[in-house]
Amino acid sequence: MPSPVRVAAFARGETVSTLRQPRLLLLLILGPFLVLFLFGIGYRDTLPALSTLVVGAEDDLTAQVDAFIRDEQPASIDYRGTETDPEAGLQALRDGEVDLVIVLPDNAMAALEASEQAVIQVHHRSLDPVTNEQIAVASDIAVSQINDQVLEEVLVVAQQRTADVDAELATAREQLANLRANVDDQDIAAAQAAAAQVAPELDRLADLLESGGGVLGVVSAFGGPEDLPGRLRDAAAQLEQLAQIDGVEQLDRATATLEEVDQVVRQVQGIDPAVAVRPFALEIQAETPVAIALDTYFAPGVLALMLQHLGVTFAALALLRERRAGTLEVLQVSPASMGERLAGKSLAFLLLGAIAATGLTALIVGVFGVPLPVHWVTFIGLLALTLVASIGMGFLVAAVSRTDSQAVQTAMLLLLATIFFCGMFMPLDRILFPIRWISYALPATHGFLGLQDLMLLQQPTHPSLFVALAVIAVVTTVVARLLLPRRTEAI
Amino acid sequence: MSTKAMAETRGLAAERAAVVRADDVWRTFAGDVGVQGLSMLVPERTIFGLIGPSGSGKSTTVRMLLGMDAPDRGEFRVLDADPYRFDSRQRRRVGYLPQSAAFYPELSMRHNLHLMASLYGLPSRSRFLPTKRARAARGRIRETLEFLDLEDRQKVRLAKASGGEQRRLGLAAALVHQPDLLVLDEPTAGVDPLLRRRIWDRLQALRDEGTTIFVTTQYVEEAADCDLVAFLVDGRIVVVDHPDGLRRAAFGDTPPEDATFDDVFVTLLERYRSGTEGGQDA
Repeated sequence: MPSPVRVAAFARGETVSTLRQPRLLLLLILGPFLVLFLFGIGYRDTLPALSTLVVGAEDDLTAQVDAFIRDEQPASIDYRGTETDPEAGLQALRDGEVDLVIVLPDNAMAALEASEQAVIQVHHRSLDPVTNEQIAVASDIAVSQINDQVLEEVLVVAQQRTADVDAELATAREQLANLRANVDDQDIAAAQAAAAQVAPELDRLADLLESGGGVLGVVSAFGGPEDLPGRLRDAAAQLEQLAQIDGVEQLDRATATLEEVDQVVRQVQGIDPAVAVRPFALEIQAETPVAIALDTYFAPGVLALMLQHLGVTFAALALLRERRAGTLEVLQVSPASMGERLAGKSLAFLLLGAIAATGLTALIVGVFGVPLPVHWVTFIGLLALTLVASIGMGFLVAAVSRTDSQAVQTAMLLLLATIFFCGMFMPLDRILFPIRWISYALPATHGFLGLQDLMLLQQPTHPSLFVALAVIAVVTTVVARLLLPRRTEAI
Repeated sequence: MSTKAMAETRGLAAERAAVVRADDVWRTFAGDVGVQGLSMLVPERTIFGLIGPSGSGKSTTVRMLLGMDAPDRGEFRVLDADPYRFDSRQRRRVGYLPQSAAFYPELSMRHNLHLMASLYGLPSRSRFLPTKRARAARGRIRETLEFLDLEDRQKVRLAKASGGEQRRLGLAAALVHQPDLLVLDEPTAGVDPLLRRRIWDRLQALRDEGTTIFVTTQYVEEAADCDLVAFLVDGRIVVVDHPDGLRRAAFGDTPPEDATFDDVFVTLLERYRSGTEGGQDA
């Protein structure tokens, strides 16, 4: 049966001993805060512009891309102009004079005519995966924009061609009106003469539509009738027949076809080419309770990380300090059991962790605008369990370490593993099993996920996090309890 | 131990109960002599000194006496129990001062002593719930600090205390819970002669109050302050006797007037090494 007097003695000894070191406490609270603060003010939200050189032949495509980049001035590109020699461009990249070299295809039109995509190559020498990601995204966007621009130009040309169609349409419409007047006047001879004039006019109109530089595609895209030139030619053939026989019915069909053409031409002319090639705009709405800046996002993680590091290092070093010559023997001879020692130290570090967590929480809420937890009891319970699990891990570190230097190295290794695996810098979903079990074995992972829910998303957190933390706490403490009595050599 | 020495020890212990009893205890290590055939009796209310050169087996004897180690063979009994299987109640009857007692350097000497008292079940810090037991414990701590002349230095942080003060604090921690048996491993190592004398005065006062004290020392002259002295060489007890008996063992019934205990032990050691005296039949 553990003695409350002895448990309290160990708890008091560790607590007072740490509180007598105000600089240590201050470091515990202000240290993580200052790191986060400096990171927050020093980090640029925008990615640095990449100095970029375009390599391409002296042709329209190079000129268009050059004009496009100069006009658009993309934020991610620091444009350095064009170069015709690919080797010179790549040498500039190797010499570090530029970050990116965009190599345009030699004969893009030939590829397009062969129904093949013309490939734009982007060369870089970046080692940084984040910058590589930036290059990939920026290149993708740039190629999309170039494609859009080509489409837009096609549409402008199509609109210009519809002006010619418009003129031919007016002539055809006028001649058709004459034809109708002649038919209405029963002047068969005049009507047949007029029909003979209209039929070639409709054929010309069909030719214009077919050679209209994409007008037909646009017509289809905007709901126009399919095979409009074919229908015009049918109408022309029927009018030619009308020139030979009497046929009001053919006249009505030709009039209807002309009206359709007229409607489509008006529609094509009324379209904004920029809207036609980019009909959808993007608007992202974050449904988080507060805007999540980078420092806001990292703040709960830093809190969880600090608690884990505190628990691990304090618990490990407290036990190793007792392995110093003299203290170890005194404790071995005293009536104090290992369980009483562990319980007392756990209580002390829970109290110290609570002080540090309170201070750091106040700072991240006050300075970084992180919302207060939505549920205080859950919040306190989560922090306490994170701390208890970390203390258990610290006991385990002490049990497997021969010296305090070994314990410090192990604690640092745990910290490093936590930075990579707790989900702060890389979402857990992107870590494959069984490696992800490392994440789940770290108390800070569960603390971080829970704090994100409670503070950033303002929602209750999942009970499984508490179960996981309890399992870590029990397993590590029990294993340490079994191993520690074997550590009887003084350090 | 020689048959003669054992017989003398039995004679000295005849009127008192044996607090410590070792009977043909062996404990050896690879490359170390350890302890070989150790037999001894420590009567209650006695200062029993275990003296011997470095590596003679003093620390191994102390470790077995305190239950930190178990003999390979033979039997060790302390307070009528196997120390290796002590329960917490039996451990409370023993006080121990290791060669280098290290506590919390950031805490004051008084706070460290309170902590050690609490480990032995004294609820000394319950000043906000001043029960009768807690008041008594606090009084005991005050007395212990006074007993070792530490009352004026009690608020000094351990890290800033002198070596002598730290040694006295270790002694205070060993006896604050009023143990029946006090085991001191070289209590005066690194202590100046004046303080050494004071410590021995305190130990004799404790003995007079009824505490049994088992002490190891490298200072042969301190044998004169013990009631019984065992001389340990190469893991074997060469002789056990009271100080005057040791003089006689070394020099006969008329030892030289200026013979010190250094001379006594050098003589005994040389005799043992040359195989002319009790070392042969250990």
